[in-house]
Amino acid sequence: MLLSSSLFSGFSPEIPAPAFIMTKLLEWLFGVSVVGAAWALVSFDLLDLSLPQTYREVAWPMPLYLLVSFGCYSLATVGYRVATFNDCDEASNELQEQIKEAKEDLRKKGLKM
Amino acid sequence: MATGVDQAVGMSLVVFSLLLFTYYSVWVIILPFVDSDHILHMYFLPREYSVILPGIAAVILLLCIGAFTAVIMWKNRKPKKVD
Amino acid sequence: MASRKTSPNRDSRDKYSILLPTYNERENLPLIVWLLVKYFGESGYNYEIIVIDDGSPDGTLEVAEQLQKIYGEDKILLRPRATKLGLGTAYIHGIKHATGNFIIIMDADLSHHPKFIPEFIEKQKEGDYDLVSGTRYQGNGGVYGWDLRRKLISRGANFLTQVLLRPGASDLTGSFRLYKRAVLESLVERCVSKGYVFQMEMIIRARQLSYTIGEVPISFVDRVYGESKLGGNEIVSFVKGLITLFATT
Repeated sequence: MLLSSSLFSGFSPEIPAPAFIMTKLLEWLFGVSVVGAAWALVSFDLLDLSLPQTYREVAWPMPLYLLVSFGCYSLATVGYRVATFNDCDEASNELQEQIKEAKEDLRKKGLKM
Repeated sequence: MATGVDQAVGMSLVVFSLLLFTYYSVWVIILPFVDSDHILHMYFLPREYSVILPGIAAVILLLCIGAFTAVIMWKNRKPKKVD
Repeated sequence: MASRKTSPNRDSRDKYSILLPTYNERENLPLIVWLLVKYFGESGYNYEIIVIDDGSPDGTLEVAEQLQKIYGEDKILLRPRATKLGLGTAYIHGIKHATGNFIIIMDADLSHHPKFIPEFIEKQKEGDYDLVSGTRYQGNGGVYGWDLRRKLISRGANFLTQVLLRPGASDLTGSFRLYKRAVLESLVERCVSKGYVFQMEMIIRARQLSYTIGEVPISFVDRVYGESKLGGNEIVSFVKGLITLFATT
């Protein structure tokens, strides 16, 4: 969300300096506030909606549940990505071969190493 | 292809997190809807622990991160330069 | 209608300037230059190699001068500096002397293989991308020479970056990239970080300025890992840089 400004920014002239930048931090704070408000509404019955007791019992640990779920998701994702992180053995072998070839060729061309 | 050990460690992390997630989800979301005399409740600790245990885990994690950072910053203390 | 020539690439107006910042690369410089000449020769694209040596005590500049005699002063340009300065300033210095309309940045220690450059070029033409980044994390990209610990740290750090910054690119700390010249110029003057975070900041700022980014899987052959392990220091400064980017972009 860039708002253009008429101030000279010192950068390349085609792109004006923004007066306000929505940083990732601000996006997160906004998202957390929205979710937090919804949670508080249900857990503490702020609008007097008189929801059934079991729903409130499930709702109030939700922030913690979301954190635990995110933790599990992170662990699973990193674990999966480590398990599928390619080991490029052929690339290393190819490089070794080419290094030999290069040294030979360069010596012929007069390089003194 | 990743090597054997890397694959094993990676996949065990995946399995562990899936199990943890499933257990915790049943504990927090499903159990309140299940009658209190159902045998399913036998496999789960009392509900308060579903808050206490993650709480303790989070504190331990933060302490570890804090200790790690403190150790690194301590090692980086540069003695005053003598020219 | 003009007849199809056997090497159409040679007639294009595009020229690719490869920036090679070097420090103590006496052994590797001839090899990387040989590989660059080989793959550019085969593909037919116009190129020049700009060696930016920061006063290496091991005689890297001497070797570079020999290479210049072998391959020609139009192909190998030497633009050395007196002392070891940062990567950002090396890029700025290199761009000033580059005559190409595309700039390729890469490591001179053979961890990046020139065989991927034609793939970068093709990818760039495919979508007229403002920048093309080599990625170790997607497709058949990968790494050679990393143990489990290094892989865990790498994937963990990348995951954290993806969650916090949502950059739209899979490999942010990689330094094997192809930029349009004007794009590189405008990005380098905006970036303030150092080290790993500098490369990350380039991509983040590119996103901010709505530049288009293409990706090509590459293999990264780490031959120095045994000597320079990823220590606690690098981790802490990476996290600091990440948090700064998170709070300011």
